[in-house]
Amino acid sequence: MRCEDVQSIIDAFVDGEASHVTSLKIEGHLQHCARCSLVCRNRYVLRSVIQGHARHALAGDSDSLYHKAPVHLPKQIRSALQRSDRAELNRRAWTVRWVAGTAVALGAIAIWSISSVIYHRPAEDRLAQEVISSHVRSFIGSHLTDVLSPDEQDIKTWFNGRLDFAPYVEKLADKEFVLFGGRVDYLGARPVAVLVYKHREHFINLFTWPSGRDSVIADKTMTRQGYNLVYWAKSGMDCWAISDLEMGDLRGFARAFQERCSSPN
Amino acid sequence: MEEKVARFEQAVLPHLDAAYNLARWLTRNAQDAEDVVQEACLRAFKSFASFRGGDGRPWLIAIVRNTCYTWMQQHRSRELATPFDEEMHGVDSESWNPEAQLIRGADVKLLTKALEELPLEYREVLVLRELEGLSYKEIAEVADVPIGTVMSRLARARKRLQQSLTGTQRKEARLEL
Repeated sequence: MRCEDVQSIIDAFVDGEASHVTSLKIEGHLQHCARCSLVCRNRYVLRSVIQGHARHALAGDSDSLYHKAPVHLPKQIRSALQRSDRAELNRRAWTVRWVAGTAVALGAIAIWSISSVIYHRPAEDRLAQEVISSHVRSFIGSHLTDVLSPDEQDIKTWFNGRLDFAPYVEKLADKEFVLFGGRVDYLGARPVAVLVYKHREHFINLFTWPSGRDSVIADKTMTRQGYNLVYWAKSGMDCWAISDLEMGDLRGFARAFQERCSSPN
Repeated sequence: MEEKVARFEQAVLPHLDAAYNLARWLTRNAQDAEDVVQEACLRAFKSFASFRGGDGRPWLIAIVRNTCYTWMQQHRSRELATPFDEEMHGVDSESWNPEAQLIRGADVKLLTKALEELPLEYREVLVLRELEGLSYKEIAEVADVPIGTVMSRLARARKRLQQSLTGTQRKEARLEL
C-alpha cells in the first residue's frame, strides 16, 4: 500500500471501521513506515484526548466536553408532551363528533379520512424520504432557492429552459402564505420544480412534476421525523408539500394552492 | 393517552443527554439547545407511530439534528449562509514534527474553542463519532450522507482540529519566550 492510500483511510482504521483485510494491510505498512505511523499516532492521541475530556461529565459541568441535559429538562419535556397529547386527543374527539353528526356525507368522509392517513405504499415511503432529505438539505448553505423572488412570472420564466415541463407557480390568495422563490431539485431520479413558500417564520417546500397518470389523488398526509407532509395529484401534476408547520396549516396551504391551480387567470 | 407518553418516555427519554449534547454543540448555546431539544422531542412524539422499535438513540439524534438545522434557518440563517466546501483546499500534509505532545496538552477550554470553530458539517460528524460513539453507518443515516462522506469529513475535521490545537499552542509557547 502506498502512503497516500494509507493516510486517506487512516481514520477508518483508527476507528475500527476498516475491513479486516484492509486493517491487516495497513498494519503491515505501518510496521516499516515512520511517516504513516506518526499520522496514525496523532490520530490516536487526538481521539484519546477528546474522549478523555468527555468522561465524568455531570450536568452543568463546564469541565467536560460532553454536555449532559440540564436536570430540569426531562420534567419540562414531559409536561410539554402531556399538554400536546391532551390537545391532540381533544382535537380527535371533536373531529369524531363532527363526522358522526353529518349523516349524508358520512360514507365519503370516512373513506377519505382513512385513506389519507393509514395506507402508504413502499414507493411513496421512498419518495417521502427523498422529500425529507431535500427539505433538510435546502436549509444548509444557500440551497433553499436558486431564484429568489415573490413574483410568479419571474419564477416561471426562470424555470423555462431549465425543466422540460412548465410547473404551476402561483401567488396564493391567502396572504399568510408568501411566495419566496424556487429551485430545481432531483426526486425519484428526475428533475422537479420546487416552489418555496413562507408562512410566518416557517418555510414550505413544494415539489411538483408532471403526473405519469391521469388520476386525481386527494390529499394524503404523513408525519415523518418530525416533519409534516401532504401530497396530491391534480391538474396533471404530482405535488408534495413539506414543512415543520402544524398539519392543519399545511393542509390549508395545500388547499389554497390547489384552488389557484384550478382557476388560472 | 397517558400510555403513549409513558411508552415514548421509556423508548426515547433515556437518550436525552445525547440529544442535548448534539444540540449544544451545533447551536453553541445552552438555552438554544434546550429549546431545540424540546421542539425535537415534541416532533419525535408526534412521529412516534413511525418508530419501528429498537435503539431509540440514533432515531432521536436524527430528529434533533434536523430540528437544529430547521431552527438555525429560522433564527440564525446567516450562520448557515456560508456554503460548505466539501473539498477543503490547502490542507497541509501532516507535520513531520512530533505533535503528539502538543495535542495531549489541550484542555477542555482549548478543545471547545477549536471544536466550535469547525464548520457545522465537520463539527457534527466529530461530535457524533467521538462524543456519542456512533458507527460510521449510524452517522451516515443521521447526517443523511454516504458513508464515504462521513469518513472524509471525519478525516478533514480531525486534521483541522489538530492544526487548530497545535497552532494555538505554538503561538502561546512563542508568546511565553
